Amino acid sequence: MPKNEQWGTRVGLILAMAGNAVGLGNFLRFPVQAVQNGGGAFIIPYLVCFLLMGIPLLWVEWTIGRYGGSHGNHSTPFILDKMGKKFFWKYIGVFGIFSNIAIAAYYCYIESWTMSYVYHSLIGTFRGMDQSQVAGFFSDYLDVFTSTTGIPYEAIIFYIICLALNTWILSRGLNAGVEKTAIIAMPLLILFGIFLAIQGVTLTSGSRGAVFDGTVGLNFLWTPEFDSLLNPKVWLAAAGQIFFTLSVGMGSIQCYASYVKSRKDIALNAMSAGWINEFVEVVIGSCVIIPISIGYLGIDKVIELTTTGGLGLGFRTLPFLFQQWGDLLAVLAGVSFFGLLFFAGITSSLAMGTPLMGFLQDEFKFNRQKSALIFGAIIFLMGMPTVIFFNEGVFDEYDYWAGTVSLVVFALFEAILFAWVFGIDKGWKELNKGAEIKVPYVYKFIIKYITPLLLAIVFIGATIRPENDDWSKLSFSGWELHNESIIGQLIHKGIKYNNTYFSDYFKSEVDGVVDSVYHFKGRDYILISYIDEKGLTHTVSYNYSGNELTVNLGQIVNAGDIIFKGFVINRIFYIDMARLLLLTMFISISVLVYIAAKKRKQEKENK
Amino acid sequence: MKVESLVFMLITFAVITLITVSLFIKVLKNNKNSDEISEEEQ
Repeated sequence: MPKNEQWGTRVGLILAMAGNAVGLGNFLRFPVQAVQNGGGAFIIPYLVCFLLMGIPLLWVEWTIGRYGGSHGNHSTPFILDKMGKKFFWKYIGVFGIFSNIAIAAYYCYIESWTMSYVYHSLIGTFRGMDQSQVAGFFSDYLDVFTSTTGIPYEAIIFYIICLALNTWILSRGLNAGVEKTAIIAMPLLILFGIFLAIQGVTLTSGSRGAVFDGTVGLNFLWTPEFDSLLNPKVWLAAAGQIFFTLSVGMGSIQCYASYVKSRKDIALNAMSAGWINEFVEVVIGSCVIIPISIGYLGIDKVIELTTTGGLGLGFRTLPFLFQQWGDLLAVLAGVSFFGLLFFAGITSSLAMGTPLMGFLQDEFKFNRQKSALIFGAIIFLMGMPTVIFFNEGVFDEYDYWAGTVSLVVFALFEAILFAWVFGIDKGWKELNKGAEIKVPYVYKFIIKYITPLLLAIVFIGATIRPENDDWSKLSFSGWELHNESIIGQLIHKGIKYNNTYFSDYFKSEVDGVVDSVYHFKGRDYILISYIDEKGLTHTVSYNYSGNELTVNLGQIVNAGDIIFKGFVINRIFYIDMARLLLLTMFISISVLVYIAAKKRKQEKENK
Repeated sequence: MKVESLVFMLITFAVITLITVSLFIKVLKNNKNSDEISEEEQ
């Protein structure tokens, strides 16, 4: 973004900031988190975390951004450098560019699914399909080299269209591109959301094929289970949700705020954008996916479907449920649901583009078209592995390291920088400059002590998370780590078998029975069914094309038994390559920051 | 729907909606002033 660019109107700025925060997680992640963490009781820790961590971080990031902008910096490396004085702060600021690029790489892919599903809802692709066919459609869609719709490489094509659209909007600049998009997208998103929320809440058993009333889902979601308030897992989940939903710890809020004039309000603006996000997430988000899916599938089935997150429910199940509403309403509901997801996605991905553009503009004097093109090209290169190797876990690696861990680390650093290095008195004065609301004085204390403490707890909690989230197991003699804990991830704790990059055989990862062996779209698969500790039956399929099967149909297999022989590239290879790619990107940005710092120093000496 | 769930939900919805709308109205009121200041500055 050029230095002389600025927001056209205040409402435009707030809608763009709210659009940055409102994302797919508002509709797919929040309700699922609430379901899995005590229903209505989740909202209590959620709102407490919003007040003690979300609001303070919003104010801190807006303040850091406006302060940076007033010194001609529009990306976090040199904003933090200005505030922290010590040389290393600019390298901490690299997180503020890195996270945005890495998240945009896979986020644009999900965004492209929503775009594709709007198209398929419009042309009636899901009409007449049963539930397994709709679920199968999504699996086929993710398998980029097959096409069920006649469009070859459909997932890649929609991904490229989505990236091109993002790049084009960014190239138009802050006012004519980002702001105009937010002004159109945000009201439409809310309108679509309200339409779907009304459909969800008014769903009655017996009508349109529903088995239960929509209020059964609402009741389930909003029944307080106060016992869960004593469970650290619920609090960590609530804190995590606040992070994702507000887009804090990324660097995009600082970048947007750096285009706010130094005398203009940020205190009220930050609150307004933050609360719009809460309205969309809690009020609208809780009335759509859960009431509708429970209305048709019942509580147990929805709990089972949400164990792997909200994406499955949104893309594998909802298109089928909408078909029960009749042809016209199915099209309207499909376009509304995936349209609102698309608008939520694009207003966020545009925000992810601005930090890199601001950096290139400030430090290397690129114009906005060139900066936008570079952003688009990097996202394409970084994103293609997530598209092609989605089923091998590359997507999840990006999401874990860039979309989860990086955010907490960066937010912790910036909270310390703001309150303890820059100084809380100076920071408080900066926040209140031009403020149109009185910031409660208690927040000076919260920003200095409570927020950094909470962030440290979240980070430590994520690092040492115990197995089954059973925090009572913590002891000085040690405890079993959760596979998803940071340490667990680093040591590949979840991968017990097939833990070499390449091998001559493949071992079963579960105790189960060979359910079927089949040939599908030119590939050979073996399907093993197994029962988990809760008694639920699951299936897992492995592609053994080109290899020799060593088990027979109906045979009982134990985890660790060889099920086929031949040359195998294991999942761990793709996971480590994804990590290497992310690390390479972080180092590359750090090198660019080093070059930019040297350039700045030279220019200063020449003056 | 159970009464306690309904009450809990409605209170949460009402509080969030009220705060969101009142903050946005405050912004809208000052949006005009803000633009005027911008024009003067320019």
